[in-house]
Parts: sequence; structure tokens; C-alpha cells
Amino acid sequence: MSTNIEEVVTPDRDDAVAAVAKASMLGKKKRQRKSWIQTSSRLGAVVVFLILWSVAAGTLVDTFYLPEPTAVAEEIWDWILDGSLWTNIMATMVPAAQGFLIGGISALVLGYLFAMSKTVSMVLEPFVAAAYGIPVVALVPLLILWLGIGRSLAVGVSAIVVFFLIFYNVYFGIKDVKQEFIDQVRIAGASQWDLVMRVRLPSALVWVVASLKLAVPHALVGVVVAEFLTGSEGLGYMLSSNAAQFNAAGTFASVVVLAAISFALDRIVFMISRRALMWKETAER
Amino acid sequence: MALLKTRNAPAVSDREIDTTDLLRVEKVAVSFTGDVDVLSDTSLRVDKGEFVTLLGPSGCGKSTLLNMTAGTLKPNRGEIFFGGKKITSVNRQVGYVTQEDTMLPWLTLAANIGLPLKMRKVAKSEIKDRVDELLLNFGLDHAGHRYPAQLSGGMKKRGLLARAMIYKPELLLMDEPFAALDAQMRAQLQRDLRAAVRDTGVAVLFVTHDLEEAALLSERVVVIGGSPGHIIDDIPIDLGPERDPDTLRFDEGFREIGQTLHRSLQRARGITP
Repeated sequence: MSTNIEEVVTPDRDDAVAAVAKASMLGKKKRQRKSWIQTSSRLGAVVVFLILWSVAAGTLVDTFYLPEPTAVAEEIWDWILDGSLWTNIMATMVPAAQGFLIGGISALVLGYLFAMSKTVSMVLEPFVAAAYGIPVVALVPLLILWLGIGRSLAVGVSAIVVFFLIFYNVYFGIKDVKQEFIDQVRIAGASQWDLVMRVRLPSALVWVVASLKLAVPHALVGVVVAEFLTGSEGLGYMLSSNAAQFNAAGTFASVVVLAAISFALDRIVFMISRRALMWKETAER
Repeated sequence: MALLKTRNAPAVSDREIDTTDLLRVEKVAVSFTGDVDVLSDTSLRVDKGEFVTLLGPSGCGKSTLLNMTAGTLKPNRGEIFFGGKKITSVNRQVGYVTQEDTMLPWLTLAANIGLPLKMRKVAKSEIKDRVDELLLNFGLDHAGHRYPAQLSGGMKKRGLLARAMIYKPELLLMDEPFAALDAQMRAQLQRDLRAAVRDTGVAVLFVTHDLEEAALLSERVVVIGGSPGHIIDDIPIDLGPERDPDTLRFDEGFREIGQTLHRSLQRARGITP
């Protein structure tokens, strides 16, 4: 698919352009078929998994440990009917989104400061590195002391997790820009603002978008962990309370809901990053 | 390839009459690490519309001279004037092209070329017109919507040249711009550059360590060498404004110029003939 127009002499160029256009259209059809095959085989895998599961449940494994898939589905259906599914999803997603925003924006601002000011990075870098190494779960007791239990704790945990995942990407992304690059754009007429908005941040964006794949699901993980430990609502609480009552179907149902949500989030991130990194994608084809 | 035919056509014929200097470097010295000078006591003048090449071995301070003209580097001693004014900060009246690929990879070729005008707050419709005109002149009209990673080295280089020329600078600074290209592409770009210079009347300060390239392109070759770097020779190249590199290579006068440059370059390297 890499017909190089450059090599074609001028009179034939229109033909060449047409040929390239045709080739890319054929490629598009091919890709569409490929993605259809991909989707259907993934669905097939899910079906096979469900069949194996329902065969194993009750015969190989006691339903106390492994409930029937239908029992899990019933449980989820009940939650949909009584509205508790939606309430719990929102109770988890809202703090996750808040935590993501707080963590993400502070990572952007501090990452920028660190990259731009040698003094700031020289003085504070070791402390950030040390803080990065602390398992977030170990910070939860401290956060409880500061934020109490409940939503603000969930927001706090998720913000910290997200912060560290994005911070280093912003820092290195902005530092990564070559001086020669900056000089040329300045000569071409860039103001300081132009440099930030048109060169430094877009350059860091490549790194940030790559880090979103981890940061977005981890915002959710942060909240679930907090709910698990101290919550009275949300998906993490649903999971821990069902497990505490030895309700295997309910526990499985909670896990299925979490899996569905993380799958949906992953798709959204995939779509966003594909849009943001279109220039990279087209080049790799 | 018809390059930039529409703009500033009479500049070439005016050149003899218009003797105002565009760039004046006066007794400049630079050192990077302290006591040892990279460049010392260097004075240079480039007139409007003049094509001057700095020729010399690597590390003699050629690029340093360009960076000072662009205002991204300050001399330790001496002064540099551009258009009669002393350069104190980044010089936005020059276009700068280097060996490096400095296209912004997340912008299309057209957006890259239009970027300088966008940052200079030019109206959108006017930017589009100018970009289209330049794309056409540089034979890139089919590639405006492409991202830099989808372009060949030669296309990128022509795009960078277009980006450096879109705001009509009076002086182009070129730091071994064609060094990384293959011979054929290089010859094509040298032709393109000559044509662009002829059509726009832009002055060029060109850096190379390739003797033939210096002779082919320029009206004056300034040989730099020694340690610390200083000007060894200032050699006029009288080959006229219309030059066809393909026939010129076998021209007797061109060979003589080549020999003169070669001897001078030997001196610059510290080898006495």
C-alpha cells in the first residue's frame, strides 16, 4: 500500500494519485472485513467460555464456589430492576472521574513545571521518585485520617494513582522536545504561548495519551479499592458485601459488571487515542 | 519545476544597483566552555539578494555563525546587524532550514507550511492561499493533507524550505540542508533552491562542507577554518544567475573555481600546498 507518489514523474501523477486512492479504498474494505472477523471470533470465545462455565458449575465445582452463569445473570437482572446497579455504578464512576481529573490536571501542571524549571526538578525530583515507589494502599490509612471515609477518600486514592501514572509522561514528554525544534519554531514567529500550546504540550500529548490506557482504568481501581476498604456504596462495596455474605452469584455478578465497565472504558480510551494520534497511525500503515 | 515565479521578480536585476547590506557581522568571537574560542575575530557582510556560502571543515564555527544570525546564540564579543539593526533576540526576519527534520509530526504538510503565518496572526483565507501557492510551486500540491511521516525525505525538505519562505524573509539561513539526501534528490533540491532564489530575490547564507555544492549554488564562497575558526578566503563565483548544475559540472570555468576552492579548503584544514 505504499505507492510513493514522489517517484512518479509529473504527467502520470494524476494516474498515480488515482491509483493510491483506489489502493487505500481497497485497503479500507479489507480492514473492515478483518475487523468483522475479529469481532465475531471474540464473541465466539465468550460463548465457548459461557458453555464451559455452565457445564462445570454444579458438576465439577460446587455452585457454592462457582454459581451457574444464569444465576449470575439473574442477580444482575435483579439489580437492574431495583435500580441498585445504576446507583452503584454512579457511586463509583463519579469519584473515579473526579479523581482522574484532579490527578490528571495536577500531573499536567506539575509535570510542566518540572520539565521547564531546572531548579524545581533538581530540588523535588528525588521526593517525587520516592513517593512514586510507595504502594497506594499503604497511603490509605493516612488518607482516611485526612479525608475521612466515603467519597472524598475514593476521589483521593484515585487522584494519587492517576497522578503518578501521568506525571512522568508529561515530564519526559516535554523534556523530550529538542532545542533545535524550539529554536526553529521561535524563528518562524512563535511566542512563548505558541511554544507551549503548539510544540511542548502536543509533543507531551503522545506520551500522555499512551499513559491514559493505564491511568483511566486505574482511576477506577483506586475508587474500588477505597470502597472495598471503607465504603458503604459503589461497585467495590457491592463486591465486598456480597463476598462477606458468601453470595457467590452476587460476587461473580459484581466482577462481571466491573469487567464490562473496564472494557467500555478501554474502548473509549482506544478511540480517543486513535483520534489524537491519527498522524502516527497513518504513518504506520 | 516552476518555482515562485509570481513574486518579487525584478529583485535579480536590481541587485547591482542596490548595495545596501542586509547582514553585517562585526569582529565576532564565540567560546562555548570559557577560554578557547570556537570563532574569533570574524567579520562578514551579506548584501540583499546575495547567495553566500560558508565553506569549511566540520567544527570550524560555520553553524555557530548561522545561529548568531538567527539570534539563538549570543556572541561573546563583537556585534551582528541585520537590516541595520543590532540582533539582540531571536531574529524572526530570517528563514532557517537545517539538516534536521523539524516538521511538527502531528500537523499535516499544509498546516506545517502555514504555521509561521498562523503564529504571525495572518488571516486564515490568506494563509490558505499562500500555502496552496507554495505547495504548487514546490510540486507538493498532491501531498498537502499528508502527515510528515508519510512523506519522503525530499518532499519533507521541500516542505521545510516552503515553511521557511512563506513569511517572505529577506535572508534564508541554511545549515547543510541537503546533507542527508541521496545524490539525485540533492541535485533536484539544489535546482529548486536556485530557482526559488532567482524568483524571490531572497538572500541566502548557506553552510556546507561540500566543495561542489558551494561552487554550484553561490555567488560568493567564504572559506572558514583554523582553530579558533576565522575567515581564510572570500572567493567570488562568477557563474551568473542562471545555472544548470547538469551542464555546469563539465564547464571549464567551473573546474577552475573548484580548484581554487580546493586549495583554499586545504589551507582551512591546515594543510599547506
